[in-house]
Amino acid sequence: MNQHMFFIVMSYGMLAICIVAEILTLRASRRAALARARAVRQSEESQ
Amino acid sequence: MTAINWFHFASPARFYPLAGHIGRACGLLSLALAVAGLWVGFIVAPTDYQQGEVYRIIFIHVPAAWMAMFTYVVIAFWGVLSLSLNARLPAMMGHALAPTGAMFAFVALWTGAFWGRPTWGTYWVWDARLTSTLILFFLYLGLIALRSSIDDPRRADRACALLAIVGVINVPIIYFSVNWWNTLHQGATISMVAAPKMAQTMLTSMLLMTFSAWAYTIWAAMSRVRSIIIEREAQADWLDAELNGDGKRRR
Repeated sequence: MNQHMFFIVMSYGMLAICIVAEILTLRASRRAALARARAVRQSEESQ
Repeated sequence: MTAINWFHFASPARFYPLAGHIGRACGLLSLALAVAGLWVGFIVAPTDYQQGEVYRIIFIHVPAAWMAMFTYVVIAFWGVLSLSLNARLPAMMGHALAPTGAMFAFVALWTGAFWGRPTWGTYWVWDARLTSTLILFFLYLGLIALRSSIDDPRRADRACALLAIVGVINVPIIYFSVNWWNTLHQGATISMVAAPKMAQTMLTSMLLMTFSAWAYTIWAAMSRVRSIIIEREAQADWLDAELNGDGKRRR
């Protein structure tokens, strides 16, 4: 039983880690995309 | 009855707010289905008389494996559209789906290993199903790496579309591998043409988790494609509101 719980926790735990990592990555990539787009516009305006 | 003009949404400017609405709805749907699926899977479904408690790993293993395969087919479909129509949005959709597909391929391999150890006595064997799924994971990594390695987005779109279309041959190989070769991995438990070989409550949980994975994939793809659109359409006037910080009105 305890050994089975270890396998279940390892499986569901990894899924949870992957989902949290993806959510954080999505939020970071959105912030980065907005920052890059603003930088592109600012460099165009300064030219 | 009025037919939907799909090309209306082919423009990133029109698709961007739609993606926000679809993404939010699918995110909530995924959460609700996952709660229901886990409740049925862990509270309602009984312990398996042969495998014991460890069989509950299939409630994430099978949906993850299905989503990994299906997502690759969808990426190949977007690749065909991208090449044939020379349009930007299908390529962006393929770009947005690849990381989530890779995550599901990895989860399918990982959970399969932790189900295989107590059931088969080993974490890994080089049988046809496992090896072809590992190749699928590498194909996803290849798509992500290929896009990162090409600076020109349009060239990257074409290269990734080609890789996706060529690589899709691996999906039927994964699916039929258990029929074509003698594998340790068992055959299909659920088929469109035969009755399921599992108890009703177990099947219910697995299907709820599968629909949750579908909704999650759509949510993740819609969220990612919005970032990709912002980055690639940075100079477009319609993005003014988003870039000036009052983008919530556009969602």
